[in-house]
Amino acid sequence: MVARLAGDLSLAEDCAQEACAAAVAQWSRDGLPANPGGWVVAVARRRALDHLRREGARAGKEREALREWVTAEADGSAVAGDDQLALLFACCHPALDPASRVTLTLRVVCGLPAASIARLLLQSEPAVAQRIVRAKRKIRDAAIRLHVPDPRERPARLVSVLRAIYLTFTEGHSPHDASAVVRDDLCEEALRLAGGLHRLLPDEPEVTGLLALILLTSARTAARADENDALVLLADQDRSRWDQGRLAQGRSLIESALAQHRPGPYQLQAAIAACHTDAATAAGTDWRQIAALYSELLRFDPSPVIEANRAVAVAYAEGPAAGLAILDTLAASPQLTRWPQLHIARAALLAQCGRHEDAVAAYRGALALEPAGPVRRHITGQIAALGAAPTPDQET
Amino acid sequence: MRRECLVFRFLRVGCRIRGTVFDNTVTAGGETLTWEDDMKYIALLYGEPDSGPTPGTPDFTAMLGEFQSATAAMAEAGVLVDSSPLQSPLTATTVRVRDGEIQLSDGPFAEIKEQLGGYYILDCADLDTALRYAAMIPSARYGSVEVRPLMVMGPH
Repeated sequence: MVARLAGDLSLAEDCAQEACAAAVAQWSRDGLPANPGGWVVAVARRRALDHLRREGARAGKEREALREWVTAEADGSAVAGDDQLALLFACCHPALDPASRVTLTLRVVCGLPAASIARLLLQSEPAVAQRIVRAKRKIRDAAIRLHVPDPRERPARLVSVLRAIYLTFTEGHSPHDASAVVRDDLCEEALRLAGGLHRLLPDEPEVTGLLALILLTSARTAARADENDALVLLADQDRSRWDQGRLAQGRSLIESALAQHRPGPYQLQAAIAACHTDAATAAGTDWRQIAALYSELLRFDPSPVIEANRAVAVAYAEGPAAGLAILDTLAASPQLTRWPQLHIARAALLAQCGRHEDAVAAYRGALALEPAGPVRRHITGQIAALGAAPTPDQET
Repeated sequence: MRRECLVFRFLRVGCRIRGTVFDNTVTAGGETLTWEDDMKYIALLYGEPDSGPTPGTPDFTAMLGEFQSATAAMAEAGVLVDSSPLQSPLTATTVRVRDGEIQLSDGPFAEIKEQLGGYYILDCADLDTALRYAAMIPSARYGSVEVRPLMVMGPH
């Protein structure tokens, strides 16, 4: 299940997490506890990392791996064009097992150290290393050739190629505690891969959709951090700092992709990102359309995490009670009980519905999952603002 | 036969490749691996006893025609080394030598649902080429075709 959650660490969720954060911000403006902070987005982006941090010993190792990678990348020259695509298609060859394809692509095409791949895919480092060794052995012994496959073979290869690029971009977004260079390098690498794939396959709407998604999301990068490198929520971002060139390119691409009437998960996520960026102000966001797009997305990927994101959009479009009804159903599923964000989002909606005691209980539930420091501080702040203590036995 | 390919290096931090004539050498984390110039693959044809058309029917005749045209295409392309259908598993005899004694038993070495019904040995530059020819074999539709590289022993 942990791997399943990590697999769903998608940009759609990123957007929705930002939306969730925006919701918290608005509730605070409406008189509920102040200072929602940047933690919701930070938590969304670093969810995988936090999982590992809870294991304690990982953090130092991870930082070490990232540092090693940053240093090593500095003197490396990048490959481009068909050579890189040939390598990408070889790494995503259907003769390799699906889990190995993404792993090998991240290792070989993107140059991620095994430790970073382990963090991203929520697997152990030895498992990742072994998978890489086995995949390389099969490429060698079975003579899987490095070439861009001919049109008949491409569709079968495309699914895992897109997935690998997508995960690369997600990785680019997540290491917020590393230097900004790291993040931008990886995002630009993913953008270059997606751009190259789109030039090769201009009529594949999912390729176009993925490129649009990366453009629309990366266009907001400059506005996402303040001068102290703290995250700025979507609702609070200075929209004039968004990269208008990328936004225009992304919008045009997603429109042309959707016009082909062959929808898929990447196009839908790009459409959601476009909805967010189309609004002149956060308040002007078309939440009804975003909620509808999440419903469509669920048809392709019926994951509880996407359902949770839909609930937030529904809360915005139809009111907190409607969103809460969805989250209540999800909270009953054992899959999500260890996902603090669900409890936090539910608590915020409960508070907005005036059910303060239930909200305190939900916040305490999130606290019991031992989230990272900033999240913990936010939760205790929210509980205090509701006039309660972090744990029942501290009540006076 | 010298294959054209791309040199690629599995470096610790990533990979750089360039278009060139492949010298069958891969540097992987400081370890040099060598590939054979010629790859040979065996395509093993498996099917359940009752899968596919019934002998004597027009469909069966059509299938035989497809086998013939697939084999002809491989021969024409110069990749066909050898091929043959096999007699029924009922005709198989398994040989084991234990403590210097020859032990014979009736039937194939293992009872499995899908039976080995034939094989092709193909001389192809790479896996993708071998897989393309394997997909032309009718058994791929009625059962399955397992493609495995032949191991090439020692230097030539």
